[in-house]
Amino acid sequence: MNNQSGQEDQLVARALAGDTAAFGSLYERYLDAIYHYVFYRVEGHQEAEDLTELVFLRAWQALENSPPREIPFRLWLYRIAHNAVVDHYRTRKEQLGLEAAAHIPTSLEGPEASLARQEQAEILKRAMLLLKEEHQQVLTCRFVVGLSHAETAVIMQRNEGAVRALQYRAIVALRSRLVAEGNPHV
Amino acid sequence: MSEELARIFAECTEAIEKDRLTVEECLNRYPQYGTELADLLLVAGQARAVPIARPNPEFRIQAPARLLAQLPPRSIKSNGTASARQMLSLTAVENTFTQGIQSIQEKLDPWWTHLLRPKLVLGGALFLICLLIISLWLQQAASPGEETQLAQSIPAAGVKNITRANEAEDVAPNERPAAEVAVIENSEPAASVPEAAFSAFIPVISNPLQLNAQTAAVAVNQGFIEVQDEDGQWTAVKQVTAARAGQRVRTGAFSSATITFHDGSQATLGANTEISLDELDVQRPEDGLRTVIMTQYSGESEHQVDFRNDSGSRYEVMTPNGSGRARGTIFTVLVTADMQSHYIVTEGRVDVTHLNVTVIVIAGQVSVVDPEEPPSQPHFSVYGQGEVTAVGETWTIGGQNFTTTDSTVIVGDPQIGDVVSVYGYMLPDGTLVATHIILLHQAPTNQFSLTGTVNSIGPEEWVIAGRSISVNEQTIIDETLAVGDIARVHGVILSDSSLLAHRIDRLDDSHPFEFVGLVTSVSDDLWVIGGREIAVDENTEIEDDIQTGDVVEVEGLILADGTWLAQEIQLEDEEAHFEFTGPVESIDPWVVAGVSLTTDSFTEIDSGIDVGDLVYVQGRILSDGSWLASAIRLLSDEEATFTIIGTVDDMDPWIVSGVELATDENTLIDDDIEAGTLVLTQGIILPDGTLLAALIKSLEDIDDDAGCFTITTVVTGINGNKLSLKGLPPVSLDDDIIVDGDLLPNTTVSITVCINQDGSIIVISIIVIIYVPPPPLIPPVPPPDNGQPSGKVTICHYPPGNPDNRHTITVGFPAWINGHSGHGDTYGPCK
Repeated sequence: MNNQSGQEDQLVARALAGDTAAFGSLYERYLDAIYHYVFYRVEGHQEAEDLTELVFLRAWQALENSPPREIPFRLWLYRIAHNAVVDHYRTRKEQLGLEAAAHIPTSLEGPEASLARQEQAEILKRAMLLLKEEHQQVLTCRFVVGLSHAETAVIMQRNEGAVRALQYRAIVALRSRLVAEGNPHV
Repeated sequence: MSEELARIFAECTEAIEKDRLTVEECLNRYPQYGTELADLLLVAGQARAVPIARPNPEFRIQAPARLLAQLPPRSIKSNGTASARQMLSLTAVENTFTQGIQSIQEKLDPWWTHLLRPKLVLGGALFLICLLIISLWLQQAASPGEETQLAQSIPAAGVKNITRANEAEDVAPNERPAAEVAVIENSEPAASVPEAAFSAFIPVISNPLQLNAQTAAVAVNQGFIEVQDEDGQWTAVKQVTAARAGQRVRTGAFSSATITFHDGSQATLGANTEISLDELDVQRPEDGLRTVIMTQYSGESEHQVDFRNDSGSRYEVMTPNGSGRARGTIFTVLVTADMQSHYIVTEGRVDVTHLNVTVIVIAGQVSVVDPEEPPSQPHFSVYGQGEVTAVGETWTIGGQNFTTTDSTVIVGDPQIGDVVSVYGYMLPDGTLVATHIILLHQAPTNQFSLTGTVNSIGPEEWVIAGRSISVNEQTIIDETLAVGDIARVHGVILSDSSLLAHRIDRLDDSHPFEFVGLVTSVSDDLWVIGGREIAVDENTEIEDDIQTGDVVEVEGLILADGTWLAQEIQLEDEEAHFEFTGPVESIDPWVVAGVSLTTDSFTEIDSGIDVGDLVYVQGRILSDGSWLASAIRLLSDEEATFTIIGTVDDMDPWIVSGVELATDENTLIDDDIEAGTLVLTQGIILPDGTLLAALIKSLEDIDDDAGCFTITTVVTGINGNKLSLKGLPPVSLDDDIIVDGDLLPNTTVSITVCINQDGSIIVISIIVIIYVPPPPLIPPVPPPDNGQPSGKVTICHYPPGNPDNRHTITVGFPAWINGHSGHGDTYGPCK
């Protein structure tokens, strides 16, 4: 156990005991990561912020009832984020259209490269949001967030083999969607 | 086949992620799947390359408090830590307010203060209100309804104290004695959690500030703030303090403070502002009336007044010649050096009175009060930004003529060709009067920067990287430079195409800096200037008598360990500017040499900058303390490079601002460039002195629009698709114009127009803000701000699936119309 994970375990233990300060530290640590995950699963910034807040609220509640056991806190948090996204669509899908699709954050390169990358990311996100839910999840975990097959398997509660097969089907579906929409970059 | 391809795809992505294989190597390994695998890897690569999404800074600041407020209390487990409510206190302000506001300031688009501050006021207001509510909640946590929970939550050591709180139940919530808060503060369980841990989330109580109807919280947003007590003594405010009627508050240069009253109303003071709190009796709506009367002697203040549905409450801002009385309003008061008072209303209405004459000023209007004169009839306000094409008594900015008066504040010595922001009002005859003209950006043309080896040094000419560079008495030169050193030159291209250096700096482990800022702390070895810690040593030349609150120019070196070491500090009264060289630590947001930089649409940023690169930055320190970069230039200490911004004279061969450039097959050249186009060129200087361009990029988009303005005016008539407007030319309504609201005669509208280079006007949007008659007090839509085609609205947001967590947010007008309004959110702040 390295120093950082040891420190995190202590924070989780303290949060488990009701220590909101420790939970606050975990919140600071994972706010950006969870927001990034959620942002690419929903239409806009506002939904992403609402859901991110909800994820941490649920995490606090879940710590008492079903705390992370034998999986890293981070992956446990992604699992809650995934469930929050699913619930969000279950209740809100009929009200939302892709017109509200997200403004992709400005990136790190120079203006032209940044703009091109931003446009490409917007196209990609729109296409991903039209995929099956499990395809969205595996693609977001694997490529947008950059989790490994093993980590994705933990979040999706499947075995690694299933994740590998699923990601292939998802990437094929995504490519088809991009081609169908005339994306010149695929 | 698909199973096999799925396995290969998984194997390849894994190997590429771990840098074991490149895409090419993977494709070469499985040639039978060549195209198909390549397509899939390309899509996967695109998904991997999406930009990192980050929550906006306001969310980052506000969400923790909101979240903590929602965390249901739990029974304490074995290590017995305090419940959430015990951690909350108004003194959270002390630890988080300044950081929070500064963080917002760093992230927000740094348009000029008049347009920025409403956002800051709103953001700051929300933040403070949130904390005040939390504070109240804390106090109420000791009320009978909560005591049982607290008693259960806290181990025995705390029970006694909570019982003491119980005994105070007959005290009104807003009048609880200080000891009661101390009860919570001193409860033992809090001590069982390291204090440092709290600061990561909500800080622990350290010095509770008591707010009641007769006190207001004065919080430092930026700079140097002082409060005067009844004895006339001025005391500097460190972060937040309480003030009562009879006390004065003043701000220094580049400083800002927010005064928060007991009902959440707020006054934000700008730089060099002084006010006195004359009467304070601020009962909450459920408890009684509000009386806030203050006098503003100088400077600028912005007020966000909590709405009261009673006729007895007062919120008045007196000036040496006038008073403004508001009820549920956002407005600004400006007192100029010649004692002219301006009342500028953003939302709601303000009654302005002087010499027994009262005028009603509504949203989008301004009334000016001259000494010994009654208030002027309300004028419609105008603000925007654009290029200066004429200066004098009448300025032409973005194609619009603005009359200036003795009261017009002109900041930064803008010249023809520069880009400025302008704020003013329109007289009944259509004349535009400027109250403020602020330099945003100097004319970008004919600038160059160059990095290379010093070949020779002369009194009037240096040769660097084989190029002759003229120097004169104004050129700032690092005196330690010698032939053979690597130097960076920044300057202008003269009309004869020769290069004149403004400054020549050494490029080595230490990098030069220079800026003008406010001194907020002085000690033997460390000063704080412009919000930055500046080291001084025995070699630092410091002008005598510099004190906290002075504005100084500081020059020095950024050392390899990141220390900013001053070489010279001297009093200065010019505009706060900066320039320095340092490594890029972050790009989104920009952090260079430890400095958080803001950028705007006028910031020139070289392409290809990565974290770790050495860059040269210049810009201005805004009155809110943020460092707004006007240029971020990529430097290289490995080879001779150059950057030129100029006009294309010829394209075969390439000549920009008279300087000949070589190109090759690798030069990236924008398609839309022709003779006369303003371009940015970057490249390397070859050993023979040839400038080989790597990039020639059109900058036409920088000044395609000479400027954009938002003007509030009245519809005087409609004939078909022709709209007649008071003081403006007729407008043809076409499909491209965003129209919100019913356009009727006598309707007050906020109209945003942009002016093209050829002088033609494009109407971007027309938003109805008031229909007269009858005149509603509060328009449904605020006027656009920030020179953008659409404004911001404050709404009460109900998160889907979590409506109990409703909270006030500010969103763009289109987002309100197209999204929030249809999802159950309500206009205006949450009640």
